Amino acid sequence: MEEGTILEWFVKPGDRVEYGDLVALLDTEKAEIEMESFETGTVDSLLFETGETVAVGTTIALLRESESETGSVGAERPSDDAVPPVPSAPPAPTRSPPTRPPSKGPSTTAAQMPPPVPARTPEGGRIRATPLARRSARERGIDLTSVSGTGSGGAIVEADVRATTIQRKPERTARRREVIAAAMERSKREIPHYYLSNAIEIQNTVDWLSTRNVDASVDERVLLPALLMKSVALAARRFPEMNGHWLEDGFHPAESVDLGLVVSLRTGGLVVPTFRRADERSVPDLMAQLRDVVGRARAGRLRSSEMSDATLTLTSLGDRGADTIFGVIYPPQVAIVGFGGVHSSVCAEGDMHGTKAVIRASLAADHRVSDGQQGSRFLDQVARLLRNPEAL
Amino acid sequence: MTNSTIQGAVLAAIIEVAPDLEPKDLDSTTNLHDDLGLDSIDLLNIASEVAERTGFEIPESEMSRLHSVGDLIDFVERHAGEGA
Repeated sequence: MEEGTILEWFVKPGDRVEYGDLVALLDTEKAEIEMESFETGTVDSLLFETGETVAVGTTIALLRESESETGSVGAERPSDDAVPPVPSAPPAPTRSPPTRPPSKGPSTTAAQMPPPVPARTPEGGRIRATPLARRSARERGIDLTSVSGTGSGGAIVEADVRATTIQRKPERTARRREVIAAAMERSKREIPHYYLSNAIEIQNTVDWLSTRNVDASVDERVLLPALLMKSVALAARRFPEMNGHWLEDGFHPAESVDLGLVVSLRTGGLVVPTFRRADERSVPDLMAQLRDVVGRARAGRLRSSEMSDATLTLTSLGDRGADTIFGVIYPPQVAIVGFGGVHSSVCAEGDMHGTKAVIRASLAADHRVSDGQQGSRFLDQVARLLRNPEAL
Repeated sequence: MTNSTIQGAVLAAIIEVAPDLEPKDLDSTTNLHDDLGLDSIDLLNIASEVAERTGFEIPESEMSRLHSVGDLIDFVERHAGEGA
């Protein structure tokens, strides 16, 4: 991600914000991202208008931490999901604060980073739009300054917002495709992949899920993807050569398993939110986060902190997917685990034959860091864990 | 709760989970998987939204039998009325 367009401010000067509060909605080449504050303080000023595009790392607002001090909220760089740039230094901490401007005065900072000329400013500073249109635009991440109004006196009505959304879908899809293509080209060019695959009989796991969910309320149910995530995360803890980053000076194993999950978007393209310390989380906890994050990813409402560097990625084709997927590693990571759909297969057990649920796991890993034997043991470990869901 | 209210609640639940869809994309024969591209996580989120709007929780055992928008509406209409 190189730049983002400010779609909406959630705060205004004078508002108090705490660390982690949402301050703005940004449109990036991948998705809309809700940007969080990495500081606590009172909003002193917003340096850009909605509709303006800013480069990553730009200070976009100033916070007053006390009467005499002003801090900044930057367009903090979440590491990209489909196109994670190869960093020249070890990955940044998960929630590092944005670069603070060298001076504490807002006017000085503004002088250093003069805001570009604002986008179309409506007469009187306020766009004429119906309340429904405003709400619809907010929900869809549409900047009202870019919508042509067809209502009375040129006011924007909800239909105008919907029409703009439809017009933009192909643009965004094409942009996402370019970003994914660039990352995958780079991966295939730079990383010596090797591939392994393993069919895992998971009838016990499927039965366990059915039994567990039969009396559970909707919000307490657990789905197979949460078990896949936990199994992979736990296995990665035992096989550090699958979990980390390849940097200029070689492989850096990660201290925690921050699992990226490939989420396909109905409108085209992928995003890869990160599940921090997935190995340490309970299955219900992972499931709750999975529902929340996937829902927001598909609604274009991921947060900047959720797009930070993953140390390993999981991709799953879902319930009705093809048998197998061989992933392409997201640099600077060194492995990606794939799961095909769950299918019924005839399995032999002694002299008996029966139909069992089977899922095919795959591993694409970096030959600079591991080899097929290690990868094979890693996949075996994933299978062992997945077959014993009660122990996850 | 009338059938029309339930139908509205189910359609609203689908659009809440898949905001890129429009009401015109949804009719009774629309397949949840093949036409709308919804997966198990989306369907669970839809079930949660339906429960919030109607007070009725779709049993887990039924989820895999609901293939179309019409299946979903019919099921909720039949069972929500029973006070399930």
